Amino acid sequence: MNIIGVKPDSRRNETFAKIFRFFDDTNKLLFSVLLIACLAGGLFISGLLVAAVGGSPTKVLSSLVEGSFQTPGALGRTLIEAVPLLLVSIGVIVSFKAGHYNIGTEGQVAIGALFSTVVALQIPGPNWLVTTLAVIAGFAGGAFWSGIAVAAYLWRRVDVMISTLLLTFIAPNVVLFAVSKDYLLLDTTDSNTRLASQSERIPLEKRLIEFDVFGQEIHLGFIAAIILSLLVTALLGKSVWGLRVRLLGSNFLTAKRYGVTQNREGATALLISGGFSGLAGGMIVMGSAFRLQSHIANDFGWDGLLSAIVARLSGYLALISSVFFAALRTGSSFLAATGVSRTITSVIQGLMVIAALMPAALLVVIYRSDSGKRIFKSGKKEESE
Amino acid sequence: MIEDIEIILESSVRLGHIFLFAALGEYVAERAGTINISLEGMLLAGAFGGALGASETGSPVLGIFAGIAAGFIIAYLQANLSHRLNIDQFVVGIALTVLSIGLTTFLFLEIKIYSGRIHEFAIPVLSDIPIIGSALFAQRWLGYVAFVLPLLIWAIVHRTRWGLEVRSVGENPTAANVSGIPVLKRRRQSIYVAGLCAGLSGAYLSLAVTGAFSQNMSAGKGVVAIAAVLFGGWTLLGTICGSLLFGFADALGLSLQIIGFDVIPGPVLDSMPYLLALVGLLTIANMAKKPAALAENFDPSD
Repeated sequence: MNIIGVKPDSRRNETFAKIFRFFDDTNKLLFSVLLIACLAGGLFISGLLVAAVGGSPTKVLSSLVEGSFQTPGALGRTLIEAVPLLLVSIGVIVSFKAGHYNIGTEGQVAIGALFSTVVALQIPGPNWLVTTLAVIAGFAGGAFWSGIAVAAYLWRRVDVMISTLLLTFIAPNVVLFAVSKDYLLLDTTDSNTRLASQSERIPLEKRLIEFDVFGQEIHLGFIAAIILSLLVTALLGKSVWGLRVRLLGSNFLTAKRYGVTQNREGATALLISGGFSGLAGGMIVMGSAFRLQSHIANDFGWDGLLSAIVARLSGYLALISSVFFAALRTGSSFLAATGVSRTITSVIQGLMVIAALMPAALLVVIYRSDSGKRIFKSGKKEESE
Repeated sequence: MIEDIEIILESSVRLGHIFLFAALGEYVAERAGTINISLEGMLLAGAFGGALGASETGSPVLGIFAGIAAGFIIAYLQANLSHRLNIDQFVVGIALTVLSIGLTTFLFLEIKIYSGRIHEFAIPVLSDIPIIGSALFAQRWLGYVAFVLPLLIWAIVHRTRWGLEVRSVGENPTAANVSGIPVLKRRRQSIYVAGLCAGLSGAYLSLAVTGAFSQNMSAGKGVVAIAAVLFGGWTLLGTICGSLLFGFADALGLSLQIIGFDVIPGPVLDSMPYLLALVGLLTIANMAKKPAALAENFDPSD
């Protein structure tokens, strides 16, 4: 640490410097503290908002916790909700790291679910095989939907962000079309006498296998999701492929010099990213919804995207943040008793995302301030005198 | 038949204006080098602010100003987070869009809103012109802003020093910086313009088109407006044509269903504007025309 040049008269700056001297050069620690403070601040603002509309923040918090963890089976439900969120997050992390912003995950989830349903309902064969194929088909569906954006990018350099977003608004209509035609997926069994737009239920024996862990119902997808996310995170961090992807995202020109191109690595990253979202769609159909409807994606795509951002694009932190987002989803159904609308959870989500971005911004502020410049001088460029 | 055409034209002008207002703002922001994903959030905030303002004050005019202010708040956050504190502009955009969806949905359920609707004002002689008369000259009065706003944006961006600086900041920020133009400030200001326009667009949506706010009512309109700028090849005329075209597609989708045209299935008609935007980007749009420094963060200390 370098404190040469401290002006003896600047009292206020001196205290400021003292506080941050504690962190020495380990900016990571400062960063973590700021992050936790910001997340807490986000929750606090949510609480203020609840109080502003006449609710009780503590009651809201306790019923959220109750609904997501404490009541019997709630933890299992939360973990099952976390499965698609985690998968989407992992896909988002891959694409963001490659510098291609795939933000059309919601649509890819829907198309993945569509592909899964088609395979599960219409392909004959042994149950375990059909289930596996259905889940893989989900991956293919998501990759196909992001593949359209990839093709548009490769062919005409259409901005991936815009094309994936546009595709997101088309996807539910594609699913709606599929489940409203009797020659496609419309449920024409006797249980659906009013011909509501939905597919038949996935037969019990073809669903993802469920099992009991300490009284919580969890399905096979949960384990698969955790293994996959650890695998992809390790690959991103340690493998040559991961290095190439990260290189592409961090410095386009260097990447080009090393033979990493938008066309190959970028496109692959996007396809994988879409595939993971599609896989999430498959897990939703085969593991918890058991039936295709036009709103099958049910914000899982958006929430997964946010969870990746809150995890600051770290695959390990995504494990935690996806459970947090899942808890908000399951806990929200317990809010009715508190008199506060359940949509408060989407406010909390938004604030959490902003909060996750704030530490980086605060660091900029600290670096730019006089005492910040002094303390962190060693870490930044030396100022010429 | 003539009546059908009139209905389609009327609603395409109405819906096209939503895209037009937002796209004009986005045009300024993109010329300065920002892809402003939070446009969607600004539009939604504008719609909510407009309805809330009109409901609280009882005056649609004040509602419009409230909507513009709401759009500006989101723009202020976007501009300062991305172009003062150097956070990735897309991530900020996503975050702000999500926050505004969450906040408006929550507040909408907690606060009772009874907004009025802006009155229709037919220009005497012109509105009697067959076919196009009622579409262009018998609008709700806020719609007539569409005749003025493009000229205003053109004058600002292409005929003032500020506009020249904005365009140079989007093309070559380093050179602009060296010649003494405050790059980040111009970028922030251009986002403010985008916020004002998107807020107006939102207020127009909730106060003139539907007459009430509903949950997540922007539903991708901001994205289509961004697509309109890309579609127009970052030219003002192209942007205007793009937004009117997408408005036409939106209106066609809706009106064909109302008229009872069932050759094309409903879901396809519903996704018309998005589909057309995508096809337009794939075929007509020329991505090579984009501002050279589009979507690149600029750090003057480097």
